[in-house]
Amino acid sequence: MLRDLNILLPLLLVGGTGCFVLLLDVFSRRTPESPTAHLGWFSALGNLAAFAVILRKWVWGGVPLRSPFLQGVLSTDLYSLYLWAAISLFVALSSLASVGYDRENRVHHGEYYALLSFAGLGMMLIVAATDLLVFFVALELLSLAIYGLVALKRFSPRAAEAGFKYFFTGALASAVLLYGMTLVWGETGTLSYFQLGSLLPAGASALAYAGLLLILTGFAFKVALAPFHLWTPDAYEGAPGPVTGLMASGVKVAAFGALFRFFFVSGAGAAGAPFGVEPGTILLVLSLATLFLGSLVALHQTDVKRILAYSSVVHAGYLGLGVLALPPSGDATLAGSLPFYLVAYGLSNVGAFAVLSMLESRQREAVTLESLRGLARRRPLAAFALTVFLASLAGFPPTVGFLGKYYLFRDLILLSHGALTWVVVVAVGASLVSVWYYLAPVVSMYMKEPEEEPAPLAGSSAMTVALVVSLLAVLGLGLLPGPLAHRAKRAAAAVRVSGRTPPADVSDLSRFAHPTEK
Amino acid sequence: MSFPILSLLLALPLAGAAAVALLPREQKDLARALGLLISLAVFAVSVVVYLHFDPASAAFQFEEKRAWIPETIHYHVGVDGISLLLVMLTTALSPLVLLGAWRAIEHRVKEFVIAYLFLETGMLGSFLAIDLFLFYVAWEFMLIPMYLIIGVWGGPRRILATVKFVLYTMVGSLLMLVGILYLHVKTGATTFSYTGILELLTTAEGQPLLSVTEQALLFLAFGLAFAIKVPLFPFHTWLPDAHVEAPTPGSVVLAGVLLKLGTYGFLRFCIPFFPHAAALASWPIMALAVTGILYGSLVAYAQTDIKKLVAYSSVAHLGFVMLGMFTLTPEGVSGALLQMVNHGFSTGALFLCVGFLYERRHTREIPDFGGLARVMPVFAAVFLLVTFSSIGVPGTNGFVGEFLILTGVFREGVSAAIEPGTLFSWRNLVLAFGFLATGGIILGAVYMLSMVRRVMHGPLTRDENRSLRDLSAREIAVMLPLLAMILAIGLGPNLFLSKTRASVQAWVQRYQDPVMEVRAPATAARNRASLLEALEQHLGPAASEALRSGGVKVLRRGSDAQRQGGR
Amino acid sequence: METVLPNSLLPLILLLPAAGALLTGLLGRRLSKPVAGFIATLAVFASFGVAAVCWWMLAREPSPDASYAWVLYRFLETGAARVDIALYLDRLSAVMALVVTGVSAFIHLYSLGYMHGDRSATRYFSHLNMFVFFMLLLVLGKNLLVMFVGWEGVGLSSYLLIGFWYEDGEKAAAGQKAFVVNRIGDFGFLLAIFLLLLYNQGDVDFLSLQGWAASGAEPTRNPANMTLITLLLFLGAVGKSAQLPLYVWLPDAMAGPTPVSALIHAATMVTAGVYMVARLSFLFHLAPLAMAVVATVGAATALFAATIGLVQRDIKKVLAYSTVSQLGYMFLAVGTGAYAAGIFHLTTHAFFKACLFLGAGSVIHAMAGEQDLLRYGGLGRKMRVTQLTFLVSTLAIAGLPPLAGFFSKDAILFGAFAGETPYPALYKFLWAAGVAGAALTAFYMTRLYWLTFHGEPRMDGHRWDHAHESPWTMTLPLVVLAVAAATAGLLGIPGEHDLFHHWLSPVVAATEVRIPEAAHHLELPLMGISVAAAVAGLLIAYLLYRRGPGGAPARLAATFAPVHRTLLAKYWVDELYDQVVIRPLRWTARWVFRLVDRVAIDLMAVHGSAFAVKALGVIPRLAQNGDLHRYLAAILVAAALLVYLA
Repeated sequence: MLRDLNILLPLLLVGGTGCFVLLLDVFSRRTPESPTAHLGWFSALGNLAAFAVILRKWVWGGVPLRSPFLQGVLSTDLYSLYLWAAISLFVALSSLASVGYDRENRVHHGEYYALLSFAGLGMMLIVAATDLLVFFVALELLSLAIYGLVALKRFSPRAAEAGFKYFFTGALASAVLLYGMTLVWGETGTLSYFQLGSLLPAGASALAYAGLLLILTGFAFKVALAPFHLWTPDAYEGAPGPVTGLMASGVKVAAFGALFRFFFVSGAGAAGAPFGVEPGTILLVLSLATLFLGSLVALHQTDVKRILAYSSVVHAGYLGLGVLALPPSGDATLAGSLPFYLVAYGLSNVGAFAVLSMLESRQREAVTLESLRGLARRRPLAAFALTVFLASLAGFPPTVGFLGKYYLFRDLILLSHGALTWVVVVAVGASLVSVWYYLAPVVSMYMKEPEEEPAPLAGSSAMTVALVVSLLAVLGLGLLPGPLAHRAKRAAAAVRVSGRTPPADVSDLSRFAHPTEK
Repeated sequence: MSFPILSLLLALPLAGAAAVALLPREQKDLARALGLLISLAVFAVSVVVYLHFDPASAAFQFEEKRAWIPETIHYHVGVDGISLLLVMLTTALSPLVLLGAWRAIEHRVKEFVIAYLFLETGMLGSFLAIDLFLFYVAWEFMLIPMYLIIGVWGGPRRILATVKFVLYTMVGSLLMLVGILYLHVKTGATTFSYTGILELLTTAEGQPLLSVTEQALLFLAFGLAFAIKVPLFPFHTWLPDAHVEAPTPGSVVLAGVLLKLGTYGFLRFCIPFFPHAAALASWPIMALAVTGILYGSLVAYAQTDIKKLVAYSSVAHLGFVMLGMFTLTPEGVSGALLQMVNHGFSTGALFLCVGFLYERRHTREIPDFGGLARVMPVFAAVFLLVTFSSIGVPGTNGFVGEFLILTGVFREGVSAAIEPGTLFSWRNLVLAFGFLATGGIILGAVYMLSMVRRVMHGPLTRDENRSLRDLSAREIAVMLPLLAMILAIGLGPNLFLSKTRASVQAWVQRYQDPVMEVRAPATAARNRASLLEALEQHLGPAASEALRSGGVKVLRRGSDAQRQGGR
Repeated sequence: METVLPNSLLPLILLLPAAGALLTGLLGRRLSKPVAGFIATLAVFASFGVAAVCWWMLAREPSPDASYAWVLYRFLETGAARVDIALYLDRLSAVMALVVTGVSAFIHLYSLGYMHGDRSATRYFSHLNMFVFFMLLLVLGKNLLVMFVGWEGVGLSSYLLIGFWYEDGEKAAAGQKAFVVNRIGDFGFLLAIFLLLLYNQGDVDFLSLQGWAASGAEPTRNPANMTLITLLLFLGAVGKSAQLPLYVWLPDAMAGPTPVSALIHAATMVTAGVYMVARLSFLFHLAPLAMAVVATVGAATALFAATIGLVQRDIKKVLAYSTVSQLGYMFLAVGTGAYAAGIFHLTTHAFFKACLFLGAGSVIHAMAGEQDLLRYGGLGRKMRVTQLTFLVSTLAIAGLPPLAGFFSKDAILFGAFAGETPYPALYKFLWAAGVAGAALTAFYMTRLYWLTFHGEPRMDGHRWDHAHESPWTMTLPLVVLAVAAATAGLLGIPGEHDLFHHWLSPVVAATEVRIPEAAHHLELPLMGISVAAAVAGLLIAYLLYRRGPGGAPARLAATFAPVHRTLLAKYWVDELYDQVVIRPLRWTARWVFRLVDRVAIDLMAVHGSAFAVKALGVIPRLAQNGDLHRYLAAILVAAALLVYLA
């Protein structure tokens, strides 16, 4: 029993941090200059503690990992640990980025930080879930927390609208997801990934198959794959900067982490389809569509948060391809690309939004390209950092983002023996377009001078810490990705080790290949 | 030589950049001086490399290999006869650029020096990298400082120019990334090492690993990136914009070194990796090169902005380089190699001269000048000498390069067996190319000399020009080394060619290695057919039609080989 | 078989002027002008001395085919190409070396006086020395590449010296014109070099080329092939030696200082083409058709330029066209295969034409820059030495015995008439043209001489008072050259005493045109004809211009107005080129830039594609209008669609 708790220690720490922050808020006296700074620091420390515990498990192998666990509704394998570490780090960084921001934007409520942690807990649960029901509960925990956070700027109609839209679309998506689950359950009589994994590949009935597709739709909404991405820009724009950062990093990491596990363990990716088209193919199509819709629309944005919103949509496209980069059965040495990409992408986003949070304030809700002008002079560090984060998102060496793309593309080509090269070419086309809009902020910061006197910048030691940490991570992992890549691989391998080897292998991938390439 | 001298070469600028970053913002001259000092140190190191380089060996020398990113990616650098001269060019130009930029850059000096030093590492890295992944990283990495140099310190339309520059370059380089990955996977995903991949590309049976279709597509994927950098007509339109908007040092290094990365890429990767495709592509590429020569000269003749004129002249000069390279003859290739260096020095010098004028008059319009030779005799003399080198007057480096290249072209033409029938036999085509290219030399004299006449000669029309200072000691110090190199290469080219000879020979051999030569007749015909149909699929009939006569070459090489084999 | 001996003196011949050029060029300002001039002149005289010594040594060699060579260093070695920087002195290049250094030496001396007081005299002498260096490189080069280096080098120096007074835009333009037109010729030369380089396994050494030509290898046996190569070579010669149709640069080249015109554009550089053909006679020998072309172009040029010379008013222009015409004679000679005659005429022409130009210079000097014949007159009274030397040279060029021009021109015409050529009829015709040209030559030279030195002064008073004889530095060269012009002919008295021909025969005998014994009885009558023609021209000119330009000539011009205008306008050839070549080129350049480069490629292809991508983004944006219902609808529809599709 105690040992089981030990396994769940990271979750308990994150959840506990949330509860404790609530209490601390009630019992602590607020200082006018920075009313909730101490809460921010505390929540950051709590999550960092979780992060540390996970690292420790990893370094000393602490306790044997149990999976399946709790009658197989959770898997606390290396994969979970890997993503938990990432998530807790992102939550911690977002908390730090919020210190000082909260004062500037009057979001100084204790529940703010509490919600961050609860959202974190939800994320950690969905990636570990191996049962659709648990997955759904965790998803709701996550979503509700985020709904709250998005709408937290009460005074701001923008935020209200954002929260409203996000809530409704989210609710609808949840409904679709739930419906899908019911169909699957009705047909197969189980919601456990493992049991599904033994049933689906054999061949799913029409209804079960429809259910799978609806579940896929739910996922697609959460990860903002086109055409389910429409909520993203509005929600990102209205939400507080650090929260947007968390949505772009943690939430996306969690959602994709869960999707990857689901596809992988339940074998849904290559479910023997009654009508020939596997969910995998559909995911491929959605991803490519996303790549293009996202990047094309992003070209027209002038609001930096919207640009990053679309960038996150585009990256959903890449990650969707990453989910497809399934390793051939029995080969555990490959397919680290998705977990790696998740971390690379998350770090870059957390950092980028930390910078934007400095610029956001009551006076200036929208961070436009205009407001970035001349930042290189006023805040050289911030400007440099933002440049690096954007470069990482665009995939310029020597940043971690470049390596993320490298691993992703390599796995796609490698696992399909070159059959999917055409997909990579398309993806590359998207990142070419993306260069275009990632350059825009850099141009403003370095090559243009502000017209009118720029508004004062928020800023706090905490923000700077968040900034520097993510900056060092992005560059450091960009130069020496070895350790991370290694763990990413083991994590990906663990998913299968924990489940049963999925039937999905090379041949499935080659099925998506371009006819002429055969 | 166990000492990691190449790493030193790469690390010095970075360390220097760090040192410069620590300087106080106000100390402009200190930053400049430190930057100059570092670049000089780098040059000194490269000279050591040059002196210890063994000209007899065609292999990579001063090789260093360390595991970098687990399994397959290594930090693997080395230098051979093909990269040596270009490395020297880079390290030699850098101090001159920084010294020349002394007054051209007045704001954010510190940042400029840092950016430049980063750029230098990037350029050297691209030339020294043996690991393809490392090469790609260096190649992309270069983009960022160059982007900033144009965008921050450039002219009025700098932002358009710099964004155009980056996007244009990315178009190619992203495809190249896919190409590299594909190559990596096809060769068993075991290595990114240039030499390793080169070996794996021929199977144990001595057959090419890649089908001609694959080769052609990969050739395009790599080639586009390089063709844009060169720039090969018609991918050149980013060049005038970038040059005109870039600050003087930017233009110098852009023309001096960055363009060479394109031609170097063809020489290093495209042709050795994909020989069949290269053989088939040599027809259209030579055609484009010749077009570039004539077109560039013609358009340069229409310019009123001196800098634009020089920019277009680069298109013509690089056309010569491409032409020589794709003759795939030793003369042509070594000529191309030498011409890269020549262009680096000559055009670099030209841009510096234009910069000197601009700093004095803040205009580059030819009509604003005239009769400067009277007030600036030294400048006029220097400018004239550089001009002669640019139009290839014997005694200057330009002549040697063009002479070798054209020799290569005509050799390819004369040695080609007479294809029965068609007027468009390989022989006639190559001879026609040589003929046109030689004609391009006339045009070169036309536009350069009329520019000189309108700027330097005639009466002093403008009063603003009466008070112009002649070159300062610093400016002379910048130009002297360039003039020295122009004459040194012009009078004793063998001195420099001798360093490259072994590598070039090996290069040409490898290209026509037994696999290509002896077995060509059968395979070449098959490959050609399959390539043509593949191209019909991918590019439409027009492209394949264009390649058809190129295919003749493979056949021809084959038949030659057969004859030799017969003997 | 040739015996080639090493001779370390050869480099010295070139290096002396080179040193002079560098010294005066680099020290430049720090050097007082007289000193600079002195250094330069000394350098060339010294080089003349060394050349003379080499010549003497060569003459003393027991074997007549002996020659000297000196390899400086390996220039190129790549693939098959191996080229050395090497010098070669045989009997042919020895003559050239002597002529070049000799004439240059005296013209340097002359320049001391002529350029006295010019602000850039130092630059002048440095360039002049540089020219001598390159000219000697051209002459002494052991292989085609070295020759080409010298070839373009002299073009370079001529460019610098024509545009010497660059403040005058026209003079600068003239320099550019000269360079570009020469480049057109060099284009051919270069192509020929490539072909030879490759046919001869990457070796362009003259001796090895000669061996290759004699070897009867496959390419040499193909006449079309050899004709192509030789014609390409000849294109180079046409450019450098100002033959039809590329002669246009030479008259403009008179913009340079007069000594330059004398040295570069009369005596030495422009004759390089003739030397080249003689040097490579073993190639031309294999292409009789090309020979015919050479001869025809030569004769045509001789006649054509002479007609233009009849009416020009600018003293230097007359001499310029006369030079073009005389060069035509030389090509007629080498085109016939009478190489010795050609080189002989080259030599004598160097003397009398240099003398004429220097004389003209002396006159211009006296007239403070005035060059219009009609504003001269009676100068003989003031400038006796100039007048006499000028007279000698005039008679020499007119071809009156026993002056130099008579012998050399006669040898050419005789060769053309009597030589055993594949196209006898054609050559007879060319001979006639040559004779006619001789008459015209006599006419315009007499006109020039008379209008300048005799009759009433036609210039304003103070010019007349200011007119004076030049200093000794200028008159001494005049005298020397005049003496040479008078006596050089004796080297080439026809028959077995033809020393000049005898001297050259080891080099050219193999390829020279044969003159049948039977033809020798024709020699005297032919001489008679050409002398008669010359005398006729001379007398007519005298009778016409005896009373100055006013009377008879004017009436004559009026009666044949169209002819006169045509000649005066030089057949509108420059205008033609301007309309047919230069303007179209400018126009094409401008429009290619505007339409193809800016619009087609940059605007449409590059920016167009970028714009297209951005435009595509508009469509999905329509969905993104912030309307919640729409979002929800989209999700449901898409989900339904998925399920339906599957």
